[in-house]
Amino acid sequence: MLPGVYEFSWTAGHVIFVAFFISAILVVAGYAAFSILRAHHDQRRGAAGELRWHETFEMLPSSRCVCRHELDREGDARLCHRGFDCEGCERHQQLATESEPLSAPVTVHGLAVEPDELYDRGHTTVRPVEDDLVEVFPDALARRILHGCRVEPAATDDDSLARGDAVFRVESDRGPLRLLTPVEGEVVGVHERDGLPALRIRPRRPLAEQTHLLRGGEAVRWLESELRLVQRAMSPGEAAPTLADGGEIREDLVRVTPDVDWDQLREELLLDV
Amino acid sequence: MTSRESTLRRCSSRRFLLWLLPWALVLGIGVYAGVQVLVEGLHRTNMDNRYAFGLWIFLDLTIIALGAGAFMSGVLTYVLRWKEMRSVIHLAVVVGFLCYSGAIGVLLVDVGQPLRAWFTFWHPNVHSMLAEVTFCLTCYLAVLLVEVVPIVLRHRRLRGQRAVATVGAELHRGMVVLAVLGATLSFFHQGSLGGLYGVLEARPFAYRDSFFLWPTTFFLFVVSAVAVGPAFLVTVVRMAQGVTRRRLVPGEALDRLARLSGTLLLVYLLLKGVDTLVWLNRTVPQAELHPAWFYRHPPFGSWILVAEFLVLGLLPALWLRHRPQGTGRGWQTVAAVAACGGIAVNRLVATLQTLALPTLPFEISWQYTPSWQEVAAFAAVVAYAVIATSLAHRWLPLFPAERNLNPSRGR
Repeated sequence: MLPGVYEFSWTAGHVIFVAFFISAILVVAGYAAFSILRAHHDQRRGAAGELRWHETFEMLPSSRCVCRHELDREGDARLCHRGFDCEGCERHQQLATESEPLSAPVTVHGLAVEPDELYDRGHTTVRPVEDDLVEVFPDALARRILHGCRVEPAATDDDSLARGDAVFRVESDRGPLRLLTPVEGEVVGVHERDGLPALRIRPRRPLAEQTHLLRGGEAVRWLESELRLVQRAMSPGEAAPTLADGGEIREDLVRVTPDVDWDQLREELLLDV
Repeated sequence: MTSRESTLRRCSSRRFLLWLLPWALVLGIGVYAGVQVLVEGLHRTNMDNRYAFGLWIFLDLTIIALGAGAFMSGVLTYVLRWKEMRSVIHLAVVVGFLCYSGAIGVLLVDVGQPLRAWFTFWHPNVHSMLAEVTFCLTCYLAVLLVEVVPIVLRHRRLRGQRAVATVGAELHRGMVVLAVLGATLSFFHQGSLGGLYGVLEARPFAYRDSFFLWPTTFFLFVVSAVAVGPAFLVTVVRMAQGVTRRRLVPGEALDRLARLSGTLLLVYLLLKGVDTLVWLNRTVPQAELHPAWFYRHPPFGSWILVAEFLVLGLLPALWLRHRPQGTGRGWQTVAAVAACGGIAVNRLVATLQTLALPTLPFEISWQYTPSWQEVAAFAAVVAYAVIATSLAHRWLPLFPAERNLNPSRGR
């Protein structure tokens, strides 16, 4: 089949055969090489996180992809197909109204939603601290489900954070988990808050333009839906959650409920499957 | 504990090792048999000048046909954009890779001198279909390897490395290119495996008239592989669900695969029927033979035609295509297994029955019984596939829909 091989001749059949196989080999090798080069280019221009986030988003169960405007709906809710990037979403522009601001902190089963805080669906909180700085840390529910886990900052001073980059890293039995940055910007400091790491970040855009973050009444509704997920996960077998008429979630919830598959629940709540 | 596992928790390491142990034993015996054949020679098998092809070639043809589910799934997912296929595409790629790598592993033993395997590329026989098969198989294995890499890179520990995760994501991005290339390569090597038999003019049982450039067996092998690939996927998923005791793929996806397989099997049987009628009424008489003579050599009687066409052909195809309302999916699984069996019988007939039949007036039909080394190597390929799939299920996201089907629940 190759020039030089016994009985090879420059006929149409042999030439087509050789051309086809050389093309096939070149396509496979070229595809692999091109992918590696593109990955390198993505790393250099800071787009690796966003690419990885979109891959992860595709793997999320549908229950985790419910549109923010349908969080109250049980079953058959509309799903988000934009990786929770509400900016540019036509439906969000139609439905978005000013989320009712909170005049005081609202407590949902012992978890506080503060009036001046914004929340990312990956369970990180954004709190403005100075004119151009925000503090980012795991929210109250994340602190409960990460109880007993080693949580470390995934970024250090002067790191530039883009969409999809990790701000915290958690070691779990099934491997590392990542909490993603709620805002793009530069890290200006790492400190501790309530025993867990927190970052100070200078966002690239004002918080008012960060339309994907939840605040006020919408944040309360979202937290309630997240807690329903946790309750379902803690219910045995196919039983529906019952008798949930109040009470506070314990700090050591993970320790007192060892039968719950906390690894799976963490992956799904923190959106890192 | 509920009767069906409802979380993503895998079984304990101890239980997993107990599951792997017998398969590892089978694999070990097969490897020993293969090494013995390589060191002491092919006379350790029961292949000879009559049966130059034996159990191993039958195995190769069968698993290559069954592994066609990989390229079919690629086309359905990335080209035709069937959303249901997303839940099985990872499994299809892994199964395809295991089928093809297993086939090549057995071939390395079958050729007797694997260190000279490169001869087939450097000194190919330009007149042989097998040269084309070798080239296609090698290229397609490379395609499958590139398709498997992003799945492996999704292991959580590997994904923890940013560069690794980015490479995996980029490899996955343009999969449609590999899907189209894989389908093209598969078309040619599946067909060439059939054409290999169809050109044997000295063996009127296998010989077929040509259509366009190739004998009709070329096209029949392609269609049969395309038809049985989805049925094999259904079989593998059902077995995995049975072993893990949890739902892994939505029932609707399996139903769609089964219907597709049933439809394509009906098309294949129609073409095969026409081809057989032409063979019976024209090709065989032209060789001055009577068709009944081919089925008078035990164990290959006319029962094998009935088995291939009806019991393992038409009946499972109809069941897969039109699963009666109210019937459980258990019968669908039986039909899928039967369909796979039908294609296996077709490959058995092409390989062993063709060789069993005498070609000279003074010859008799010879019996062939595979030696223990051949059976062991055959079993080792199955064990290899089971072990690799088990490891993949334990550590990789082999079933993307598993989370949806098994939400976190307490015990």
